[in-house]
Amino acid sequence: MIHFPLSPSDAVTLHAQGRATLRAGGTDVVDRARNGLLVGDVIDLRDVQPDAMFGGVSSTAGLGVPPSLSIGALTRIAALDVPALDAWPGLREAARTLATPQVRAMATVGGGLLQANRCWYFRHPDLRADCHKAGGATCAARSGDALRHALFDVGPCISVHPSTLGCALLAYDATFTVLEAAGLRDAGTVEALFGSGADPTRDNQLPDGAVLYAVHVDTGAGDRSAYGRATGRTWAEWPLVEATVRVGPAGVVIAAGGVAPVPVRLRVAEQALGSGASAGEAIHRECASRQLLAQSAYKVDLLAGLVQALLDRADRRSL
Amino acid sequence: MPTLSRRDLFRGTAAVGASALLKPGVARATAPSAANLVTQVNGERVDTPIGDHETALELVRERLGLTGSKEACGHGACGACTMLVDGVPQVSCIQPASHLHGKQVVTIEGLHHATDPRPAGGPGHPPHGIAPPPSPSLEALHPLQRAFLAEDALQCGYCTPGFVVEASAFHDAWRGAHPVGEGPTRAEVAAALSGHLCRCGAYEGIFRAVQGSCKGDFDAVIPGEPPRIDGLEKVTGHARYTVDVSLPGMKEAVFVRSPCGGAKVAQIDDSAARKVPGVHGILHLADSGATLRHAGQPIAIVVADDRTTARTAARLVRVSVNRGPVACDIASALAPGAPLVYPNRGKTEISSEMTVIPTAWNLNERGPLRTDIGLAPGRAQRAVEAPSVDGVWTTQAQCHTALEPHACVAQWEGESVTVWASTQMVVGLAEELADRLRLPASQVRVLAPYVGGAFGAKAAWDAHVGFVVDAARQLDVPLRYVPDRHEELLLGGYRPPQELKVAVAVNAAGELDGVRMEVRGDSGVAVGANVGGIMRLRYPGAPKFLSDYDVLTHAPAARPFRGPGGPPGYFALEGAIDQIAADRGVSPISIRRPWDREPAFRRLYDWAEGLPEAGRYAEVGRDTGRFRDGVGVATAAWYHFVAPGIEVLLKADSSGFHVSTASQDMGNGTRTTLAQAVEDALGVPRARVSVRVGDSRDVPGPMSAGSRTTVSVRPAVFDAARELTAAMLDFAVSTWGLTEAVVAPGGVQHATGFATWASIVDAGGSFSAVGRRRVDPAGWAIPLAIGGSAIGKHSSAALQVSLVRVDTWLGRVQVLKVWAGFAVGRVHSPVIARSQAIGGVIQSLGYALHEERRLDAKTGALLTHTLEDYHLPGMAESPEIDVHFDDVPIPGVAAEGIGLSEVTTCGGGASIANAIFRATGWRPMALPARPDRVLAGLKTRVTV
Repeated sequence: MIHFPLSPSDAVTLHAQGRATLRAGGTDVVDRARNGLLVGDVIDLRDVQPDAMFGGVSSTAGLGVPPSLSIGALTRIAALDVPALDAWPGLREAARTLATPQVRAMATVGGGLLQANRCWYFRHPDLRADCHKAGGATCAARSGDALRHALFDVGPCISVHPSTLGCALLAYDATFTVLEAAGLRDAGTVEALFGSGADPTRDNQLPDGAVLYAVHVDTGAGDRSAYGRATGRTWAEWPLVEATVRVGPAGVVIAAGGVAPVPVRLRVAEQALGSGASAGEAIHRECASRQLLAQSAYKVDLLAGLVQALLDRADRRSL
Repeated sequence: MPTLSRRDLFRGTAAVGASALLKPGVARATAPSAANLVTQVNGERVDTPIGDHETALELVRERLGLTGSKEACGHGACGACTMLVDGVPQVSCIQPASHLHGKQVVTIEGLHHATDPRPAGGPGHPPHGIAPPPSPSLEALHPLQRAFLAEDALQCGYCTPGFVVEASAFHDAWRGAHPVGEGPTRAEVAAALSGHLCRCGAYEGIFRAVQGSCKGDFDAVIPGEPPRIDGLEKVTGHARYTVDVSLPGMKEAVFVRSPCGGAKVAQIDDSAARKVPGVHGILHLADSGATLRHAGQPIAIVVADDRTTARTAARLVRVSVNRGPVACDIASALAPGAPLVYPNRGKTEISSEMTVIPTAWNLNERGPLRTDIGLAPGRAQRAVEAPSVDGVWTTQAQCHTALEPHACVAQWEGESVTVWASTQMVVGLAEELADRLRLPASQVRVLAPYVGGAFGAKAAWDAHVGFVVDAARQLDVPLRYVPDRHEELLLGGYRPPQELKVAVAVNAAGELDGVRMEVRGDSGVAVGANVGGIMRLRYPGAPKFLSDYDVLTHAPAARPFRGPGGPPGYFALEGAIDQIAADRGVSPISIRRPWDREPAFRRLYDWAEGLPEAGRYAEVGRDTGRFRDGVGVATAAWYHFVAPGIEVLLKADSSGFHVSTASQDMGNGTRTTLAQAVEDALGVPRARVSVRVGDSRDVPGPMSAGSRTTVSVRPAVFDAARELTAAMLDFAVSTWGLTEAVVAPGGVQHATGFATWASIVDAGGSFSAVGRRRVDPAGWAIPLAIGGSAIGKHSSAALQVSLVRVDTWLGRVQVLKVWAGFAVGRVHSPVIARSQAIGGVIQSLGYALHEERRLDAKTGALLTHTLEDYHLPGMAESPEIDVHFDDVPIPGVAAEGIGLSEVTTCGGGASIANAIFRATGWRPMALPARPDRVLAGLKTRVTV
């Protein structure tokens, strides 16, 4: 059954009632429905009239206050490729790079952050029976073909998180707001929204019954930053690894995707760069501090190359 | 509802009772949701109930009959379903139909100018079977559509509506912001169209069309005929493919398939599925105990009102299987104790175009098949005891994955059946069906109106066609089956993975002393992978030892893929030769020159030595730093295949000139070839010629495979034209009492003037003649045709130069530029020939760098089951490609030319791999050259 609530509060009331999936752009939910992965009702946000916080992009850049950015969960990805985001180039670049133009025109920020992973076992009707994320208790990829899977062994599931925006927001220490039955609540960092990746049953840690309302970026405006990804083709490919680097007064921040079941901050590498290490050394130190998965060990070099390339690019950027 | 076993199929013994369960008058739509959808589609109001999970694509295709928007991937990855929603291009296959509420939707059918007097194919035009709505005039088209036509930015046309819709929006936005004469860069176009895939590889034409139209070059109608005669139907979405056939009362079929290989069916329980409203029947195709060699084997067929219902029900069919071990690649299948794919030997499937010759069979290995008769294999063996190079090359499975899947529609009328099928062989399929159904040929008709790509995958019998035809009869309904992309990628065919042990000996004098190739191919449950049969063509005169083995695995059957055996064989052979040239510090051209005596290759070498990068052919590892460029050279040869005896019917009457043959056009340009041949043979303009292909009832034409369509039908048209013009001459002489009358181009020259063919038919004459493809003047290379195919004398020649850039940090290889030279004799339709050649080059680029099917080693299930996981080259991967035709007539060959399709894709992979070596000093020995392999390779820098 599909519900079409007319307001955010109607949506959250329905959502709090039980097992239903929220649908905004639908690009992932429709696919999952066809694939047999969707259980229960759908709450479609088509008719919701969002307020500015839920459905808009607002930036205080240039207004004489510390620049900050708020992005509503119902904002289409394509709406992020606008000059208002120029103070956060890594974020704008990420929004311009992910998926395809047609998908970016439909998909929302909320959906982008909360989409399900694309593991080829999880998405396979005949291979996911026992998959953690489909209610099972094993990871077929772990003992199977994990060529494009996680590098960091942080939990039983070794899928990689598909959210490019998540990777970019992590690099800006973004926070998020949820709407719950009790009302709006600032719910912490986007890093916490994803968690450590140790929980194999979920792609994110959004509180049950909550609707992701908006994400906020209060830091990093004007920092040199860059987003990039390593793929076989130029466009329209899930990245083997992706990263956002931000070089600010407090040092370098690196967030990476394609390496774990959630986007991750590479804090060991950040520290190493702060103490003068090269990108390659920094990434190798990061990787030495983590348990790695053998099949995707090539991603160490890929990540090192990518971070070096992004630091170079950020460096060339004058802001 | 009846439960049928496989044994009952085609016997018609279990049909009783099925029709009683039909529910006439049931709408084909799914259950309506509470609120109706109200929207505007192509300017017309639509107010309709929709299903819960109905997509925007299903809405326009199934409810509104607007079939121009296509489903290809079903995941939003290929863009074939793109439509404008409030002016913004969006994919519709993953768009809920409900999201169109209150929007303005424009599909491909509504893109052309609204003032066109002819109908736009808006809502209200009901879905129908064959007859398409009339196409708009050239004047009414969007400039971008005219550009696509003029630049031949398409082949099969299946992806074209999506490209056109997206690019038209890009064009309109560009024109609003830029002055006339200013166009976008290739990179800008590639980024804008990054959500689209074209399997034929029409990207070069698309770049030209978008760039040109943005500059304003196509604001007005370009004088002259578009190069491809069915282009207009394709750029307007009016071309009807098998997936678009919709018949009154038609039901949809979905298969329940084996989840794994190496298993046996234990139990099938369809009780829950039968209770799903809208299900009309479930037929079992496998009994308890049946062997399931590979994932995807059919177990049951579910017939329902619509695909969503059928899919839902199919998911409820509980199939329990007893699983056993599987071997899904060459190494596993040859390992000691490997599970046997055929424990009792027995009959395998065949993956080859050629006749499979009996040979030894040991466990999972079948062979050797020696193809070196007459090539001094003993000498070759001795020569390679001291090899100049010796290595093992490996290649992956490359899926054909044509964007139109292997769809079919079956409709029975009494004891006659009509089958629409996306096929390369309407005649072969009709014959096979008649045979299996034990019906006279007159009662089986196969139609392939438009075919959305094939590449060899649709040139063989498909079991599902038989099941669909049978289910349609059992349940007494017209029945359509459209495989989804998962099924297409799993079962639709692939180029077999190969392991090629190659040793080559070149002596101090630079002579090619010997080539030894021992090749193992994995065609899954089929046999027929063969590389040696192709390799014997190249470097004639050199001693060769050529030995092939089939390795049976628990994978679906491979299918011949454009130039079967060529791409892996040349990757290895031309890689080995490139290595020897590099080791000796000589140019890859000069090392080959003495080994080729054919003038065609010599001319290609001369051409290559005149190219801008010729000075770099001998370089290895010139660049340092992150990005390193290299230039690679490789060659290829291919056979001159002909379909002897095929026929073409040529008619002339007051309505014009008509040519027909039971062949098909899968994007290769059969229609254009026929029209061009009539123009050339009769001297009448192409525009006056109507062409019909894709109907098995016409005179028997060629299967579109083996590069033989053009070289078979063109001489047959000329043959028919001789008879036709003779009859027209007689008519003119007797009607008008002409004297000294002779046939001349365009009509009859006589004592007092010239009578055009048009004037003769206008005088009431009605003529027809059947022409045949006769033997070449020079004869055949082998005196008999095998499997409908004769091998002519001469062979085609190709040389590809590729400039690549390797990103040594991210392991990515970008092909920057390709020069591709082909010697195939006379080229009769240069524009579409060029398009086909570019498509072959791009498919070889995908093979070299991106495409790779991966199976789960434990179950044999397909991991790369979407076009997000299986990577086709996109716009941005397409380099600038210069095509050079060595347009020199080949003597002794009808039409003075030989086939083009396959030779264009044979050497490209080798050329790119050689370029990677030249750029980095590391030679890729395994395809595709993925980022992880490039990074690993750069660390080792080990060369063979």
